Amino acid sequence: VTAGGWIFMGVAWALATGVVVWCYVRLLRDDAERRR
Amino acid sequence: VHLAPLDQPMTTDRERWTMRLGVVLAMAGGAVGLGNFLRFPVQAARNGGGAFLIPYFVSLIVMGIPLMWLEWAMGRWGGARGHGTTPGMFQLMWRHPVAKYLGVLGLFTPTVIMIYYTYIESWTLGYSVLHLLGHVPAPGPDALGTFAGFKDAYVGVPRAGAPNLLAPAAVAYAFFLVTLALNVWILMHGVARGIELLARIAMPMLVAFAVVLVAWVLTLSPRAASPLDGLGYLWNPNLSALLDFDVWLAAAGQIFFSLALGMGTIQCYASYLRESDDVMLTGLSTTATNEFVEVVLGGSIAIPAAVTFFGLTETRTIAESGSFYLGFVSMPAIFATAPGGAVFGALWFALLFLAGLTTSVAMLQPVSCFLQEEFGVGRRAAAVLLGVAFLVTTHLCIFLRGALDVMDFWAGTVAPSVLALIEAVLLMWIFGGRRTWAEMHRGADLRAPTLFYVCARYLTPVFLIVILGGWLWQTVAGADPAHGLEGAGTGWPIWVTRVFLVALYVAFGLLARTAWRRREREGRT
Repeated sequence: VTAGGWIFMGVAWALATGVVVWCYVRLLRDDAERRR
Repeated sequence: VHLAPLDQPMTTDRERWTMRLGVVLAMAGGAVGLGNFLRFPVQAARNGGGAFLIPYFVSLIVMGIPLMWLEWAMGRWGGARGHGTTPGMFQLMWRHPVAKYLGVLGLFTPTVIMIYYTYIESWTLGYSVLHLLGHVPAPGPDALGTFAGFKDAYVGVPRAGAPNLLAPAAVAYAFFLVTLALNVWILMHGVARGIELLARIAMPMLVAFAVVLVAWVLTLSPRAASPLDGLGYLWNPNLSALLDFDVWLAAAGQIFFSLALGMGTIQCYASYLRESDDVMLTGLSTTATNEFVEVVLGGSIAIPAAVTFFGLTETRTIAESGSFYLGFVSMPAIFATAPGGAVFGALWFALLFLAGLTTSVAMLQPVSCFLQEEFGVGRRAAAVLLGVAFLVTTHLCIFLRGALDVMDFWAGTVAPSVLALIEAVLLMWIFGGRRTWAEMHRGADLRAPTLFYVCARYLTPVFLIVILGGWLWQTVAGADPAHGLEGAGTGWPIWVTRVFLVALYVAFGLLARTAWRRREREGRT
């Protein structure tokens, strides 16, 4: 893997993982707040 | 243009999802399909590697996320007014006689896709069981050739003396029956106890299977190359590809089909939401789940494994041969030679089967919902009726050479782009941009930045026109007369399938007209 490959893969993976984690944390937090 | 009153929701006794996470998983299940694991890596490898991700993410922001939100909002709005399918939704939003006939695309598309998708889905179940039982051939010196022959024997090669008819293996037919029965059984249990329960079980399993396979591929001992070379093949950027229009077209197409936009399934699922349920965060979560599965997991299995076992040159040929070759020829050839290959092969095809199953039930739901709402057919009766209908119609794909490709061309590629374009214009221009935006944000804590409004109103329709136009131009200009417009040949099965598709659209149109007239008579419009 070239340096460019690592950069593209790292950014894409970080974006895809970061957004999905943020969404599910917020979903679960909102659900907990609504239940309260 | 007559607009439906915004503040007059109908009280209905529609089924409901039980929990928000369940809706997200069901929607994500509808979007995550075979394409995430087979089509994405092939497209990325062919179109600039890591650089492909630039037009890919641009398309996601400009078109994917706005359309996803629009479809969720339209579905919830229609469901609150007693319409779970697009003919009724379109007619309510735009009181023009033609609206419901345009909305018929949202019944036609998932129905036709379902006709061939169930059959492909059944291959994954069949291959999984055959791997588990060890009923796959020894690889021999030409492993790819061996498994290409195995796939041909399974799916069926043209009969001797009747080149337009296929002769599939009996086991393929048996697994099709099992797969269809399973789909019908899930549908019979309804939205909450069928589809949602399936998603809550299948989606975590799917991710777990994929993580195991990624770990296995990335820790394989180097053979023709190393797994890292495989990642490099997929991700090393070729920045010059960004100047190529075809690469942008491929990226936009991948986002569009991967998110299952323009098929009428998202609107149908969203119609089971309550009017106060949030669609912004849930819509974004669905998109994010699909992207995670596609970019992180989907990109790390089939292509890196192919490079490891066959090397870079051979993998280029595999990628050029398409997604099915990668999934059903290259992967089995790898499992046949790898340690523990039987187990990992079974796992790979089980993963594809789960991805396919959660997608196919989403394709079934719109027409089931239509029969229930518009003609008072019971849920179980609708499921059985559809089971019989698909049992009959899928025979076109099982036995007629080229029928599957013709259906995929019209329903899998053309129709979704057209439906998405119509709904973008309908919602953001006819129904009203501000009105749609207000509807979208009802009950939501998350606010869409203004950028997305501009995208949805201006850029998304333009993007869709460019995709559709560019793709049609490519197809028509590049069509080989010997292979026909759909690339499936020119024999009589092609014409039989085309006539079938037209007849199906007309039949759905007549049903939509009957349903609307009936509602008018009963004052339920």
